[in-house]
Amino acid sequence: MRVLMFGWEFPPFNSGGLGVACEGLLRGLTAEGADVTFVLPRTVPVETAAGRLVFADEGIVEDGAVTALAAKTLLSPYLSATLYSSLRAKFGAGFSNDLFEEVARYALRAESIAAKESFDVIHAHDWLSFPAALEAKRISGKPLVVHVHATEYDRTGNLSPDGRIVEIERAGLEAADRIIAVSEFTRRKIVDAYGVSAQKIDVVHNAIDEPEPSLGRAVLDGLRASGKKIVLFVGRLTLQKGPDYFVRAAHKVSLLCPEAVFVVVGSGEMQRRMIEDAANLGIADRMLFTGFLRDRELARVYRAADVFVMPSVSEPFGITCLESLAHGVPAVISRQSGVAEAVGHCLKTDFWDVDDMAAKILSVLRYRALAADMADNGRKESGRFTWQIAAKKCLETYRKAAEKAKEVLLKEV
Amino acid sequence: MPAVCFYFQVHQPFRVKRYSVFDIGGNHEYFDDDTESNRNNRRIIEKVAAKCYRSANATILELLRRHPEFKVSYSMSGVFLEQLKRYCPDVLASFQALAATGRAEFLSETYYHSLASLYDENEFSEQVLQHRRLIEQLFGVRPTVFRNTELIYSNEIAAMVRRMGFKGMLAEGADHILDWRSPNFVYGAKDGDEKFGLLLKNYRLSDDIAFRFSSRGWSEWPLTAPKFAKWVNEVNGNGVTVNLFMDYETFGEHQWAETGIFDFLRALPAEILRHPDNAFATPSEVLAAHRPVGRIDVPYPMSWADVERDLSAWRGNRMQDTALESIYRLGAEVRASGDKGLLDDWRKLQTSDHFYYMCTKWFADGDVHKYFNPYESPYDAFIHYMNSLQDVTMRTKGGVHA
Repeated sequence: MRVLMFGWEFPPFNSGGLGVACEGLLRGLTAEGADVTFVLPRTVPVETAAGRLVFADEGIVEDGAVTALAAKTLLSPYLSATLYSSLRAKFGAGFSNDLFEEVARYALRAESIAAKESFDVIHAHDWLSFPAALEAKRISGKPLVVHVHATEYDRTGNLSPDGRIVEIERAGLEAADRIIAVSEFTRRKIVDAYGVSAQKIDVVHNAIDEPEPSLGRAVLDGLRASGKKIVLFVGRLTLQKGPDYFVRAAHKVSLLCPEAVFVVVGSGEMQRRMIEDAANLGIADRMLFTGFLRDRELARVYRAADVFVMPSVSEPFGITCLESLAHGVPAVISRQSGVAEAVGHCLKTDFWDVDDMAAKILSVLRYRALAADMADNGRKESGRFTWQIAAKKCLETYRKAAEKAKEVLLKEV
Repeated sequence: MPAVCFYFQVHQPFRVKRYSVFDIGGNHEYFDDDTESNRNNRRIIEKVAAKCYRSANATILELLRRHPEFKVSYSMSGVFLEQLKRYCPDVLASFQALAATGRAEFLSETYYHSLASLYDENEFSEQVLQHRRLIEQLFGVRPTVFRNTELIYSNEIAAMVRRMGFKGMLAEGADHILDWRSPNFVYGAKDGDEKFGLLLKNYRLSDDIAFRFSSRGWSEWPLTAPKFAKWVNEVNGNGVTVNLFMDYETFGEHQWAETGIFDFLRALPAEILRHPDNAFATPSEVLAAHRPVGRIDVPYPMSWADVERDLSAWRGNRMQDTALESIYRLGAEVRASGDKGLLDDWRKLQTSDHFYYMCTKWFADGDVHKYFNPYESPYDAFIHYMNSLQDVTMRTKGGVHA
């Protein structure tokens, strides 16, 4: 099976779970024998263990089963159109006028890539790659699978979705022969908000890699040695991730557990508001902001944590929950998430119910037996989520998409 | 000439409401959930009364009237009877009507359906005596045969029960104890005498009704009264008693009325009595009529739960062990406090169901939805329980009165 895959971020040049998922899926598909060409909108010095990397701007370098093609843009999956304008103002020339123009340019490049490459199926990840994938489908007539990691409604916390983005998402969803959603939660959202038939959508849960067994000393050891309890948040500091609810829960936790310290890993436009809120609630001295961390540094913070909290307002999946479980850290997660439907060995709460969230965090900090049983069982459970299983399901979806495309073709004939 | 010995277990716990860490020290009500959840004790008992207790009692009463040979026995926990008195007095009256026939025997158990037999002999005896007083008061009879919570049995427990003067007790007919021996005889305890008999559950025949009755994948489905009576007849010549022990909720709650379970029950006594050698007997009658044919040795506690037939449903993970250790550690102080409300709350927290809800052994990979629990997870069960227990501990140590 030859797959032409359109993405837009790839570790280590990722700002969130999307790049991690794309990379994992790529490895899983390669392990399952698929031949994947991965297209990126911009040039990045990507390395993957799977093998060969290619940059469209700089010519193609043959290097294994995976081919990466890149186009030079300012794209990032999490950029809002407004934020994009301000970035553009900062970086100036060399980039086109706005995000939507970028998307269009990516689509134009896709046309020539699709004409050059040979493949059996097109697989596109989230809205920025949808126009590119649609072009590829138009040129090649090959079946299209679109993969929804998040919708505009998730990214904006359901508050103020950008109508233009919603329209691009709708166009991709409608043109696709099959849709992959990262959870039932997301499948429902696609059906409800975009009016797509549930029959057309397959659910493929995300996965994680087993953490490396030995990572040296955990960071934050000093804090732990002084008897502090570490409550961890990992995620972009945006509305979608509910960092404001985390601050409010932290305040309630600190009332009953003065030794609790709240570690925030991630960056984003809500950091300032979090600091202000924490100061107003009198807990600014107990909140530590580490900024964005990846790989080993992040693993070390996980290992130091007593409890992980994912208070997302609307989380299509939530790989960070699996990460915390894999590191043996008990998790308190929002029910408004895809991962909540897939895992049992954690505590679940509604993101708006700050009292309940705080009570659950406190319980994990207070009862050693609870934390220990959650840690052991959660670690075991996280092991069930592998990229190879996810890749197998994607291959099944490709097969269905090919059948669907064939039907359509026969009808037209 | 085997006698069929029916024993039905009737129990409902006082489930702990969602009691958060923020409630500790300020709220001393642990069992008064009034939401639409399965923690609302009133809602549950009314639901089970409507589906099971009323129809089952009416059916049994009808059978007792129709067949003078028919007999049954019940073991009802004190916490169940307390809830009946409070929420479904008509159901309590229907049990009293069964008692009035003189052919329904009532067994002894711990008032709180607790695991005290494993932790605290004094506490165990007090709860058994409290239960005896309640049965005498409600039904005018004094139980002479004992059944322990979830049929938990060991040599040690048998010795305690014998010291309390019972004629015998019930236990699981577990394969690992009986080996080649049949459960259809009376046995003796390891250190017991001829006067203390054990009735062992015939789990195959019992579970044919309790678990498999409506199972379409079962080769014997559908189970009819003549078919079941035939299996009972096969015991003839190879046993004196067929001990059919099961939860009373089998009728209408575990097996819904639509499965035909009540029709089966209604037809069964006549089918069994069709064979001239068959009879019905209550546990005390079986024990009075037969001496033990051998002894069973049970050094490690067994129960009637799961395939393991052990205690792993109630203890084994760290949460359960911590919860059990924490509650029994308070015993001496709570009993010495003289605070009746505190004592009752502490004892209601001993009911075995609380620890069962914390069990993680079936809450395994991908099996989340099959798991029945009034709490979202075993972890939530533990949290609400421990928070309540912390409040009880504060009341005990600090003299805070409800």
